[in-house]
Amino acid sequence: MTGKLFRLIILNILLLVFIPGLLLNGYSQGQIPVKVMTAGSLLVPFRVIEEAYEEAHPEIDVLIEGHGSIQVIRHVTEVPLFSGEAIADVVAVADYSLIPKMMYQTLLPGENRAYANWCLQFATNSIGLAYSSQSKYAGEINIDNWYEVLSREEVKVGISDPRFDSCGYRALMAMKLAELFYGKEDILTSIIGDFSYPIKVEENDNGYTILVPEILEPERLVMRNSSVTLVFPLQSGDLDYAFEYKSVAEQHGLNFLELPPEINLSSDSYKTLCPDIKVKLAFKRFASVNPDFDILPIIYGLTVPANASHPEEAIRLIEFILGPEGQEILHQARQFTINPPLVDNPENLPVDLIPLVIREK
Amino acid sequence: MKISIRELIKEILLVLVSLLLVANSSLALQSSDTAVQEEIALKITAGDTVKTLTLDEIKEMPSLEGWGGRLRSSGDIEGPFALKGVSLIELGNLVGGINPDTAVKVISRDGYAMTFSYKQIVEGDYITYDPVSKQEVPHEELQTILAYETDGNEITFQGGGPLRIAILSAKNQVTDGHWWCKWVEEIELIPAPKEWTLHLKGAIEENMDRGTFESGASEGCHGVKWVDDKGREWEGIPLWLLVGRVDDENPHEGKAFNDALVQEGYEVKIIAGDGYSVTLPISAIARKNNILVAYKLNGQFLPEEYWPLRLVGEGLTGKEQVGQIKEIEVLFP
Repeated sequence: MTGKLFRLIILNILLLVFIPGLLLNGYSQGQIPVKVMTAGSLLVPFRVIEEAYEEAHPEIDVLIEGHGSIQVIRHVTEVPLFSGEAIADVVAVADYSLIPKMMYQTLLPGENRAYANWCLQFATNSIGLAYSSQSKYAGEINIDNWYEVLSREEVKVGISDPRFDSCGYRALMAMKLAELFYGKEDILTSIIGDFSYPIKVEENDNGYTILVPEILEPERLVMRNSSVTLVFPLQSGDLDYAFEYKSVAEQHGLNFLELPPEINLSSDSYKTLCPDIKVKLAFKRFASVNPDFDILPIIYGLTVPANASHPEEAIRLIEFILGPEGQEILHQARQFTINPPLVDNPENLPVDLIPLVIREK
Repeated sequence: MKISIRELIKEILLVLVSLLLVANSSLALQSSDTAVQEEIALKITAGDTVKTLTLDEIKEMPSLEGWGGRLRSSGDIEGPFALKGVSLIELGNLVGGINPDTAVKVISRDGYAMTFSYKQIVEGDYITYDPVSKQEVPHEELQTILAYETDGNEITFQGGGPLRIAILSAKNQVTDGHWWCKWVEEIELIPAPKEWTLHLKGAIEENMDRGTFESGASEGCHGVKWVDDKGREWEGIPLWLLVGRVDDENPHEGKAFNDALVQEGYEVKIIAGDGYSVTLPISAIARKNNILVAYKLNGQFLPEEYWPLRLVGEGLTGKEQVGQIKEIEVLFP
């Protein structure tokens, strides 16, 4: 009787402690949540991966959340500290360099270890021009005249906002590279037009710095907050052309004009034109991020934060993404992959992932 | 398993103590939350002027209510929500007000900062979208508020509260999500004079930007002041000095203004942004420091009707005082 009473008390305490937590978190069916914070341009394939993975692993609830890549990392290193937001288990960004820049150098609160110490380079992309068959001069535009078509007064051109989105600052870099590639001095200025506070370009010993002011009010250019949201005005005809990631354009059935490899940032071929182009935001937008972006090939990065709630499950999910089924989903979604992926710090990589990767050269 | 009465009492006591500790810490957390709520202050600054407000003080200010929703960068829609808060214009008025040469920087608790232009805050210059099609749609008046209530409830911390930026629009419209800053703690009015260029055309051409003009118009350089018959003080650069930049091949070295050319006679055309122009003979301008291209009136940048530059000075008629100057052209015979 006394033993029963004791067990009853313990059971009640356990129920008292755990049930509200489970209910609050919405996991009453016993699923393990694996939270994936991803760049917006990966949302289409990652939502398919979520579905396929949950079907194969009903005990797992994959939670996908998309942001601009900088915001993805801030939702790991800054926001949960005081918001109580759940920690991400997987981080996937459209610029792999943000992971060492923002996570390797930031220590977990009260601990002597960083938010991450390895990064997989697992996918790539290129930047070019998305357009529809209704776009003005759609039948005329080609690799030799695109910058002249985009400069025409009646043509509406869009980019994502370089203050918020990697596709935006990469578009500015591509236009500057085009000036060097085609030997025309005013491609960037004639396409973006005037602003109440102008975007300025400074030449230096290594190349160019594009200075983006705090307020961007274009007179001609159309700006949207991300590469994904540029798709809607292209589809409606409110926009003729947009600098866009190839995968995003193709995922949404848009036409895509490939730019020359020296311009499209799919590789480091830009170095034949210019060793360095930097986009610098002329203001501080984040507490912990230096708002300078150096030109690099478009390579996506993947990691598991050191404080992930479910690191083992996160690694299983990454294995799936890198495995045949995940790769097929990425290919179907027109997302170009690096297979096997490259790793920068193999000594820090979880053991189960080592057979799937090669060391960065 | 056999447990004695003494052990049972001991276990029960331990459990009770644990429960009390849990209850206590929970109460402590609640009271700490309440304390945080009471202590939260919004700091508003404009230069040296600082104003702080508690949440209750903000709620006592005149409020705006309406609908708003956001288009996230992922393409997802959130809202629309019923929102209540205080206009940023109202908050700006507490530290001197927002004018065309100010921008409004909103700083969040996590260090995130977003700067809004005058046109956004005062004229509602945002893009609005249909929440279903996500296509751009025209809008009427939009208002930027510091919201403290959504759908009749205080904004939770998870929801970006207690204070977050919201843009009030029609119920069937949403705006870009990145303007909806969460966890707002500070609002700063910062100087943000708009950029402009004055095109000078003559024997040579020059595009003089705002910085160069203002540097030239500083005291101790070429800056002059002139008071009109209404007692208003205009500040700028004498027109003849600007003409001297392009009247010959010498823009600024030594005697840049070519007096010999004055004898031969030529005209100067002052052209506004809308194409309106006035042409004056150089004899009416040469070496006259009281005919100036002004960029300030009573110590402030020019109001919109004249901005960025206006020709003013002794003896000029109303029609000759060209505003919104964009170009000055030297017309040689």
